[in-house]
Amino acid sequence: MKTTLFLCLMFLLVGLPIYFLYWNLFRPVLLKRLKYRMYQVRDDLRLLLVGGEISTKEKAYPLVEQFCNKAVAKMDFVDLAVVFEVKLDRQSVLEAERDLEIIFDASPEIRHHFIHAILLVAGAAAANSPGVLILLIPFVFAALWFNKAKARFYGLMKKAFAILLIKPEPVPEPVKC
Amino acid sequence: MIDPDPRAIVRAWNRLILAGEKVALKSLATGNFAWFGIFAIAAVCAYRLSPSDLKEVMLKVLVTYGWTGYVVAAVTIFVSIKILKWRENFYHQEIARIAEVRNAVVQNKLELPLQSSVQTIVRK
Repeated sequence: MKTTLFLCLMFLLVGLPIYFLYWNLFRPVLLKRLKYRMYQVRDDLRLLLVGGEISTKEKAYPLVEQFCNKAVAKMDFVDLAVVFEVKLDRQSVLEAERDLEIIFDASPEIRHHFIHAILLVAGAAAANSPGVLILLIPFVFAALWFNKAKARFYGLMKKAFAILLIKPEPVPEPVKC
Repeated sequence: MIDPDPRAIVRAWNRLILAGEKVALKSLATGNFAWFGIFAIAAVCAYRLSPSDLKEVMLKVLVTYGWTGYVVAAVTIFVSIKILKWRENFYHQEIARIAEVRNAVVQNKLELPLQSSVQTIVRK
């Protein structure tokens, strides 16, 4: 009992400053950095359009730009719990699947920028949920050896995309007086 | 006495379960469940220990191993300074990048009319 209490107190003594440092300084700075990178992705994409390297009729461009905008808006609070918590309807999943197909069939520049944006959102989600990250990292690396797990991860990515881009914003209920 | 509506009770329970589920998922995501667990274990241990044992443990933590606090504080300050310098650095990079993008946009926008005006002049 005495040893347990001693270990707990030592853990608190050492761990709490690290915890506060992470949540109050490192995470906000990291998110700001990721946002700047997202702005860069979006600006590069716009420059491609302005420079004429992407056609104005490209269907994937507005999707990726919209994804970047929504990601910038939601980066501060997006986390891995959202992916498991939110239940999507069939229509949203199908729309996400269609949009992802359009993006992955687009020109390599757009695909490259989209993958970069997805990685930035994944980074923000990981920064906002260190608990899940610490618990899941060994399983994720082990699971990547199996194709079924890869398919499941693609499904999760699809779901995250749908949550971020397609799912309609919840309308606040009117306050009854 | 007013009988409560059984459907309202079920709805209230469902909302409570949903809220609990959300709190659990968030605490799992943020990792705060670990701190809650440690606090709970420490509280139970402190409650069950005798005052003399508790005093012994507290003295051991705060006096014998109290110096670790200085080490942790020094590391924290060092890391904080590094993070703030990093933030300053990438902020300046971002400002430079925005200026470049602005230039590129202005050039792209100006190039098209200039080319067209040159072409117009040649055509004339």
